Amino acid sequence: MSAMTLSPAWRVTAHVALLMVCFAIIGPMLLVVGTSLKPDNEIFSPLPFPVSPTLDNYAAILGDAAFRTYLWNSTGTTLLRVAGQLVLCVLAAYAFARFRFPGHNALFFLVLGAMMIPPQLTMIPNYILIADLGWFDTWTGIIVPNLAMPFGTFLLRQHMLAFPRELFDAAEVDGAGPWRQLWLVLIPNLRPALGALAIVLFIEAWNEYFWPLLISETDRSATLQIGLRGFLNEETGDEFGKLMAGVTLASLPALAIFFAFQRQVMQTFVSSGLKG
Amino acid sequence: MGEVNLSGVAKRFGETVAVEALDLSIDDGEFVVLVGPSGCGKTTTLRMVAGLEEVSAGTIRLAGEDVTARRARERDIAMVFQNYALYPHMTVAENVGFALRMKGFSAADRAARIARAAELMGLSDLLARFPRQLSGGQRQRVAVCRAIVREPAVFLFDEPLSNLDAQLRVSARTEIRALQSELNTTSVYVTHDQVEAMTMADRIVVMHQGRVQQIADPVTLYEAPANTFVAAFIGSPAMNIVTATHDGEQLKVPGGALAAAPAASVGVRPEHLTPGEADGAFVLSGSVHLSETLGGETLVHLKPDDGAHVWQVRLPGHPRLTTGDALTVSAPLAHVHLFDEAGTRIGTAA
Repeated sequence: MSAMTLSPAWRVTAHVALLMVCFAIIGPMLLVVGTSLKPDNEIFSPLPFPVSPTLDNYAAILGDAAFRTYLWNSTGTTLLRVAGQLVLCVLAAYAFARFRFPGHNALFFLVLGAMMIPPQLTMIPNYILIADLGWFDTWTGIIVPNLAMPFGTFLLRQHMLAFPRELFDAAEVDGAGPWRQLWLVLIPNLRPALGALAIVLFIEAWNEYFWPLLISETDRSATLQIGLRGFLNEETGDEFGKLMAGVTLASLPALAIFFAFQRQVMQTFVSSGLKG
Repeated sequence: MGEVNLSGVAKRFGETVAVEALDLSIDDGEFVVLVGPSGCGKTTTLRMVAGLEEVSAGTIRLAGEDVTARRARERDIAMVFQNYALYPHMTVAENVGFALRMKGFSAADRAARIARAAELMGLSDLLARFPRQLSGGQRQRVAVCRAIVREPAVFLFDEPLSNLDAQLRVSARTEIRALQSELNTTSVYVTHDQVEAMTMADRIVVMHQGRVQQIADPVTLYEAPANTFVAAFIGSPAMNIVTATHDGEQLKVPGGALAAAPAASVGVRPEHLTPGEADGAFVLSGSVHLSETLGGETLVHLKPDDGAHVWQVRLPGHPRLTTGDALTVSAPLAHVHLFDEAGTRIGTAA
């Protein structure tokens, strides 16, 4: 198949359009980084970048005990949530891909259906449930309602269905039961897909704002995304420099992980669509 | 001991009958080949013996024990799969030792048995490699090595040579047969290749549409096929099977006639037809329609003047025959098979 060719005029137009889209995405990010490097007297200057760059905002925010607590809460809740999601996704996907049981199709239909339900719809019932369980303002309250991940289950099921059935048969003949087939044969071969899913889940959990906002009340459970609001204060004045430094620091893990593994993420999602 | 006994074993997938009431007894140390065209039920039968497929009816006994309800991992069997089914994330040594690990063998015992099996299969230098680093032939040897390391009561082979090239297939089948003789382990081998079946088996089970057509040793299958299906399936090129009519005295076929009892069809193997007329033989005459050189032999397509059927004649060497040449061939009556309306063999014309 020959590559699609564009006329020079169209090519220039396309490049201009793409540059505008890129700027729309990168512009605010550059503004955040620029502001984080500005001293207090330049915060409201019209220039996007500092005249006298300083790391004072970073030093101040990293020395702030509350910020360190938010960082700890974010890291802890994110890692536990992702680990829990992966375990549940693997087990559910394995059941759907490997076994036939009464209600198999109906249950899988429910999983697919759950993917279509907007989270805003379940937020209030979940909020009431969490309050009734006494999990308000706890890590448990932030983590548990997000453990079930229909999309992850669907993605892993597709990968498992593409896994050669003969390998399960060979493992069965070799003496491995379903659990050992899962942990010793399937999971080691599913690492790329699991890695990609873990990255997506990590970024989603790390950037989560609305649910922790509902559940957190004190520094006991507040994550970075919630804690950063503390720098917007009507009484003491907004601390935009620290806020932007915090936003920059909060973005780093997600950005670093995505840039390091973006090829793997893309391949996994493309291949799951092709193989299923 | 590794006797295998199948009694009334059947398999149905919904309305489809994959295997119909199969009775088969395999002696300890015997090499039995299940052969037949695609979809005949041979792999399903093997998978039922392995415990990978539930039976719809009947019982399976291994070494005298009823294992019908047991899972594959609870049966003392090892299996070589068509695509080898080597675990891609494990080295050759780990692949070979996986079953031993599942059985709880110590690391030292595992290493000793892996080394012994690898030496037997000529894989000692490849133990640290991953399957992706092996050729097709090496993978096939690893798959066999994985089966023998367990020293099971029964080996099951599911078309293990079908992914190899023709040359490697010939050497691999000799190796498997020699290995089986050396270990004297009961083996059930599935293939659609009748040459593989003929060269390897102590006994062959010919299957068609889920039914056993004949169970016999290779020579018996060749010399006395039970019906037209077996007659046509066993032997290459296939037996000439031609519809016959009886005029009260003679059995007539396109190109010839013979004094024989009434039969619906007559079968003669191409290699049993030789040039010239012999006394008391079944004589055919016609003209050469096509001549194919097979190497040391020539396959001549003989078209009789009085019929549309073309007989295949396998002649030694390279006879100088061109299309249109007149040719007369004959076969001893002992090699002329007679079949009834249902395709069942009546006997020979002798």
